[in-house]
Amino acid sequence: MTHKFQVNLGGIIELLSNHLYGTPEVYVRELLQNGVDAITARRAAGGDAGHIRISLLDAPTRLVFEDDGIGLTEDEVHRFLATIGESSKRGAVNQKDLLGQFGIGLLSCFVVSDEIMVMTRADSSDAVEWRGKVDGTYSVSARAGAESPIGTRVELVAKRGAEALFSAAKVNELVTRYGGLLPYPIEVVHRGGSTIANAEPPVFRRAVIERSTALAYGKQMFGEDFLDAIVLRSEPGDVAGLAFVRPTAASPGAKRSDRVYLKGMLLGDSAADLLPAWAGFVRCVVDARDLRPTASREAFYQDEMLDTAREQLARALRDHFGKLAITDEHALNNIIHVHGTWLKAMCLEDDALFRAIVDWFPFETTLGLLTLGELRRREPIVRYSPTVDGYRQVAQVAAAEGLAIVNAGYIHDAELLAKLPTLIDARVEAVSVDDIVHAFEDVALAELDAAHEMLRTADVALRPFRCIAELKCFSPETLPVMYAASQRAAFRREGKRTAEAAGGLWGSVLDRVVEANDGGDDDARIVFNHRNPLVRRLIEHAHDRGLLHHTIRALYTHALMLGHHPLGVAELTAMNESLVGLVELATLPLAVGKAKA
Amino acid sequence: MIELEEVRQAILRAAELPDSAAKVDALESLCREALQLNGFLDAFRGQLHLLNACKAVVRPDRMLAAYTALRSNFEQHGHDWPESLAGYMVRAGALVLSFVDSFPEIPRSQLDALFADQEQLHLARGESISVVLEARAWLELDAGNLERARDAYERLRTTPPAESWCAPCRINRQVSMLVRLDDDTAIALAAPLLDGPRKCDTVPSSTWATLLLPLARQGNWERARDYYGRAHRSALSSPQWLGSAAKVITFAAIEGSFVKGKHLLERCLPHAFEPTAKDSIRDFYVAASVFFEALGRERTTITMTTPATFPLHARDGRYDVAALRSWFEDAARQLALAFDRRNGNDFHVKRLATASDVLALRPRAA
Repeated sequence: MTHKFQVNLGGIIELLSNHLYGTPEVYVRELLQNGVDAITARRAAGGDAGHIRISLLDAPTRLVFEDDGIGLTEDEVHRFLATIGESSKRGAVNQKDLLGQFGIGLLSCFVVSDEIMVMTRADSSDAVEWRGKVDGTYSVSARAGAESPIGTRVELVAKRGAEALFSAAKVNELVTRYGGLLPYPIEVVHRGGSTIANAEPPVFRRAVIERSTALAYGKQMFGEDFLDAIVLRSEPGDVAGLAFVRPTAASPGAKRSDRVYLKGMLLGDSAADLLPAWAGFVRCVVDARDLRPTASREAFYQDEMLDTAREQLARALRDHFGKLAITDEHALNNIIHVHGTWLKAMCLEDDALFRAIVDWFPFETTLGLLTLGELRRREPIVRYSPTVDGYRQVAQVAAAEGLAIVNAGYIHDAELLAKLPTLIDARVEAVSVDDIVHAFEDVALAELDAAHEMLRTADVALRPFRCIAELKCFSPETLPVMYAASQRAAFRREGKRTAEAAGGLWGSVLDRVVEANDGGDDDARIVFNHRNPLVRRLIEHAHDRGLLHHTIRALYTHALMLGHHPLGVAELTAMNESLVGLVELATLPLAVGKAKA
Repeated sequence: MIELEEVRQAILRAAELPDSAAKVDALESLCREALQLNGFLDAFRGQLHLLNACKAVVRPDRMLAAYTALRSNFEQHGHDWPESLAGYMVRAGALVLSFVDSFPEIPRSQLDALFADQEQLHLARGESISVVLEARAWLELDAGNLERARDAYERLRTTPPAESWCAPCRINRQVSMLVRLDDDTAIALAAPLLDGPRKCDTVPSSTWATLLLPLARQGNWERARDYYGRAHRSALSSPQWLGSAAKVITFAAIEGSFVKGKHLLERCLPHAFEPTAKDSIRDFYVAASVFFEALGRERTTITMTTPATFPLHARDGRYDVAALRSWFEDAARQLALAFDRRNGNDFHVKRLATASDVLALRPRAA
């Protein structure tokens, strides 16, 4: 035996009217939608319709919405106005031409009014009056002979607290926002005066749009002086619109602020469904004629057509920037200057765009700010540091050595450069401080022999820090030492430092992790600069072990700090001891002289 | 009386110990106990751990003994065990194959028997015999049996690779073989490793070193020097790979790049006095003798940092270059003789005698 669900009508109305929609303001949208659909249906049947009037009346505060659409017969009133989920928008009219499809739109009026009064008349029928109440009851009465035109008239009396939503200013604002692109004129009448809320058709439906016209439209729509305007088109979904490049940098986490229309009716304020995630630097106004809305009519239904439309709009954006690289370098540079991060993200997804604009991206390099194109013209190999810390460690020396190293530690940069040789005939290498040090000029074997004692003393002094000494020649000559560590050695040092700071159980756990990952043979290096006068003096005075020991440890900690490596406890201790030791050595002759005196 | 459960738990605990001679002793003893208590599967698991421990502490003789015991255990009792254990058996054989031929003390007859057994085992399991063919090709190459090596390589080339092999490493190993047979083919085969997308943790860093001599022989110095810089850097960060370092040191000798060569020698030398594959030590000693031969043509003394285990170790770090050359040549000769005894020829001794000929490749200054 089967049973039917029992429905609490009042509860359903409460649910739909107060919880389905994000804001009570949507009642205007739902009225507009019903009106437009009725007009569309009448025109499809050969009728001459196309006018909507909204009258605002006082005492009590109420709104009268009239359309000259197809109207309803008494039977239809019973079926469609009183059956939730039953939409009148069926039959002769092509479903896709209509705005509403779920038979629940009128219920949204219960958010602002406790009673809905509908007077409607279909062609060759008598007028019918329907009154619905928020408790789920309704009454229907035939109005035979009444002087009523074909169409529908909905009257709402503002319920307590909803009066502001019936004010002329508010209604005008809502009509313009929701219905500004609708194809039929919407007249708002108040205290004898009337205005047409949607007098101008949207510019983006024109076959040809001047850039200046598009930018002016953007300014009117969003109040911003945009950098550029991009025409958006997608045949699937019959989507048209404009994307405007924002004049200031957009935060990746910022909420989108667009105008998205469905058949001229505002659907929502975010095109997140329609545009790819990397398009956060544009605001757009789009109108889709063939996409399906969700039941709340605040987003598009996710289907294959939406996916295709999204791809088409992404393509339109990417093609635009690709063309700019050829037609307007200045504009492209301006946009990259403000929105480089977003454009880099686009390039990572699109190989053609990557090829077209990658040379325009500016990068911080050891030779100053250069575009990739400039860098590629100067250097046969593009060398980059994939981390900001790594870049900081090499920047001073690389600049002095005339080596061009790109700081690719910022978002997308390393990925972008790594992708370069796969798409363009270019050589690219990720470099570390270890690579830079390895490329330094070797000293002569005789000089190395002379420095042997100093280097071995350094090895002994730095053994507790798993660091070995080397001698090379590099610039600037004012820099006596440089610290270099492979990834493994850097991990070990950082791990040990963190374990020291953490202490206790967690410290010992970290220590064990570091030891387990220790290759055992990958020591860090301190590289002495043979061009530096202090280093040469140290080599000459290598027999003075005490002086050498303190100086080497002081230079070691100095090199760590220059390379932006935070000091661990043992290193801080070594720094203090070496400074005190050096001061003692320096002041010893004074003390001896005083004693003699 | 010891229960099997106790032995089982002891094997599990021993397996967790850090690799050491004591761990090898313990596992050998526990595996014997398990067999006596009819714990054949427990013994099998212990024997697998034992193989790894033997490799880690570089005991090829005990590794072979462990493998023989493992094989026998599997042969007698393996038919009742889960199918997956047969896969372990095959992989254990591959582990032994890739290791024991680096030690001249393992007789050739024992190696040949191992190859035959492994080939049979792989075929019975329906697995690719590429691992056996590759090991055989290496053995023949290292013994100087170039025709047999060529045959094994051809068979290897036309055999589907083992599924578990890393593709860049597989190609890299083939390149390493080919440089002893045909420079042009080796360089061509290496192309996708060097310029293309085929890379892994060890490729192309080891490929750079492999191609140094072939490129020098071809007179392609620009490319050779480019690879030398990279290979030197890579060898410095992995000085335990003596075979790879030997190639870089040889090129340093040819180039007269004595500072870099000395630096790498200093880093690698401690590893030459630790237990490791003897063919790598042999190649390293040969390279060092060539290096000091070249250096000796320019100077008589040098300062170096050497480990205390180095027989000529001097506290002040000052060395006579000729003495260094002589020591490395003698040490290389001892190993060459040992390998030649195993192989039944004089390939390595002859090779050592002509090792310095590579110095003639050195380009003359313009």
